Amino acid sequence: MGLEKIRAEVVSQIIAELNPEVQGSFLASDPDEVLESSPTFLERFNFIIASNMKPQSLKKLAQFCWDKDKVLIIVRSYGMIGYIRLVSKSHDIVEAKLDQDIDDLRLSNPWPNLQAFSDEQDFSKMEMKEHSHTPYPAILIKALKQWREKNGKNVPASRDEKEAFKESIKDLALSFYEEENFQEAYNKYFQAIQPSEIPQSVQDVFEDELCKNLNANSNDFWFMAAALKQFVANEGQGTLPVQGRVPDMHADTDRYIKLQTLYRRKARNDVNSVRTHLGQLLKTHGKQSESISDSDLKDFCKNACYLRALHFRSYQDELSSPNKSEIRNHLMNPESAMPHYVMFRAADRFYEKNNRFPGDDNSNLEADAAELHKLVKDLLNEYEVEDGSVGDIFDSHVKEMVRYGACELHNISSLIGGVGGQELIKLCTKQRIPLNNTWIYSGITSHSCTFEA
Amino acid sequence: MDTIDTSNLNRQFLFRDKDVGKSKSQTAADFVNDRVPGVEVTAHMCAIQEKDDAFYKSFNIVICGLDSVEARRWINSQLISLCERDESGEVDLSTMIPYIDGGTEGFKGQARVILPRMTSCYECTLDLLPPQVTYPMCTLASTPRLPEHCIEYVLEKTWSETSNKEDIGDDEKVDGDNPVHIKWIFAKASERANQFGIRGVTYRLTQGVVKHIIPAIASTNAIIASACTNEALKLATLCSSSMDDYMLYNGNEGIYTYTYRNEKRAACPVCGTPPPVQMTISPDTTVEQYRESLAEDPRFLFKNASLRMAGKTIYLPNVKMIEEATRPNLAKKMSELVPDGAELIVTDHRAYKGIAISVKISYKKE
Repeated sequence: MGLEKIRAEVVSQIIAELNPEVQGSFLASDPDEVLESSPTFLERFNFIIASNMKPQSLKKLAQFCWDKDKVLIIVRSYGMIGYIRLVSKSHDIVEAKLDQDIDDLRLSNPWPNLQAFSDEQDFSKMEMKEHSHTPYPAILIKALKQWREKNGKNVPASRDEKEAFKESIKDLALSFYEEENFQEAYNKYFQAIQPSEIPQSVQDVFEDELCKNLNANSNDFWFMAAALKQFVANEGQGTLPVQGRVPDMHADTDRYIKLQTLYRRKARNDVNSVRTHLGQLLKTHGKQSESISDSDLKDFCKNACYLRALHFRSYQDELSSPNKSEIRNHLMNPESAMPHYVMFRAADRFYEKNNRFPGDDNSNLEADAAELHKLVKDLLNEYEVEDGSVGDIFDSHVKEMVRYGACELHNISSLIGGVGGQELIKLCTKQRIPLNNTWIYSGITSHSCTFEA
Repeated sequence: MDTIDTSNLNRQFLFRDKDVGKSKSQTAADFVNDRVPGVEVTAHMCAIQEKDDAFYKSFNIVICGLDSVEARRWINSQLISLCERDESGEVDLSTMIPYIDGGTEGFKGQARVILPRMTSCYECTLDLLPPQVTYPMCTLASTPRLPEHCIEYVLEKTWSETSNKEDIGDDEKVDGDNPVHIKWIFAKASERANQFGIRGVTYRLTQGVVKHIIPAIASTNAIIASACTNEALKLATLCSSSMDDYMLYNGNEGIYTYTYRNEKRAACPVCGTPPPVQMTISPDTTVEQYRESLAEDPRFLFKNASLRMAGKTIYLPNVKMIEEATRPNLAKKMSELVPDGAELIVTDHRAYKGIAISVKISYKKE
């Protein structure tokens, strides 16, 4: 189906089929003309995907997106090779959804109600069943309190002190090998002696120019980040708001829920404090206090230790001042997909010179290969790759690139489409962490490489 | 067999609203036949285990998108058992059917190429598997078995379908850290468990399930499907070399892939030459208890083991008549049926095709 029809029309039809509630439309025009004569068409979009565009047109589009603060996703499917590049001036993330959760239970510095909960647990009056179902945070807080009273210090620091602290947890058990909650406490002893820290990525958010220089046009993320920073400096005494999340553990339902409630209540109080700072900040910049909802702020505070802000390099910068050291480092690894990046750059230069990609008509294969080889050499010089350090691996890459003749294989396209789709989901939901900023994939070995170009 | 549910539509992109209730395989086949002229897809609606050797021999390449470890083990052993060696012990390439396998979970996925008897096989790396934690909707709706199934069902259906939930707003999303939410789900899941006679729904389990919802995403399916297709294209046309031999994909933090070769395991029961398995059990162990132990034992993971000895069947679950005849053995002690030092032939017809493990049984002395 679709032969002789306009590509854009067929594509928009097929995509719209997938979800009857989505409306799609198309414009079949040369992108250069659109940029020149009716750029307002492009201004309507938040995300722009450039698929297998001509190098010169892509440069213009990238400049337009940068100037207008549009998110640009560049995707290429070229023979057996794929390429994705994301460009967004700044991208903020609240829900990073990392594979590994960060548990910050404030056990080394419990607030009074949490300390009281631990103090209420009177091991001397408990039968085995109750004893072995006491939540481990209560055990650790108790053990730490005892250790402090005995040693007159704040937390165990030396190796010997840590060992002694661990053993003191065992001593609190009735029968350590039967009590899984005590084993849990023993295995997680470090939670009791580790101060609550602010992850580097969150400190970077606080130090970001967008956080330091709020204005009426700043988005919600930055208002909330600035309010959070004030909380940390004041009420938080150097810590983020309590998450309000309690991990699963060996405990009876009653006391587990009690513990959960304690954390949630503290989290709510902390959010209220952040709310006060936020209200002030919004007011200072002439905005309504309600312009950021309670539920957004609650999510923000709950995820405080996962916050991130990414700043992408522009495509123009990548071309005019390539990230040489990254390129060189990857080229040192014989399994890296980096040579394909160099090949893309060389093929683009070839196109700019000849207005066609190498090998796209079968008559000049050898001449094309020779010319492409020369372009690769120039690029390697520009990247300051030492002669000989990459051997002659590029001989075969040049041949392969010419063999492809810029053809588009459906299987590579659909893989790149899928990866681009994932990145788009991450960018528009602001969940998880998008690629920063380039991904190269080889459909031959199935190896790929990510780097900041 | 497997029919299309509304909840499939967001990610299984060959299906449309009008297809809800129809057979998945037939609808998918019709769609591809219709969209891609020159391609002929034939749908078969049955369990993979129902097809015989001749059926599998008729393919040049097998690509699998299966939803369980058991089904993967079965197709793996089927294709390996079809692959023959000549007199000199070399693999007869004309009988080798490459097996390409893919799977996804949230933003993660994997693809793999198995060349029977040449590369590592699925069984070689069985011990690398994490425990499975996701359940298909059809199981949740009609055949719940585990307490987790009841909880998932409440989460997926009852939550959004119930208005005026006590102390919970109709628009509220499930929050795994809110005890009010968990209590409500716990109560409903317990009701459902009682209906089905399932035990073990606890507050703790409820919370565990609520917090581990892994979304299925269309784009991840596209990535893995095309990685598999890519390998098939390369094997079929020899236009390029194959992946060697396993790719892991993770889109959670940036884009990360890792492609590496799994080692062939010499003692693999399916593609290697396994040493005899020695098991020492208590003479009081019943046949039923012994079968249960095979489901947990990482060397077997047989949920439905059949047990034979030379000239004698102890228990065979997959043939109705023999099952009935051997059922009384389940309650008997192993030591009554299997002499000390005897060799037992163990297999699971849903996990293995044409392959069994021989186990030497000895009894603990009192």
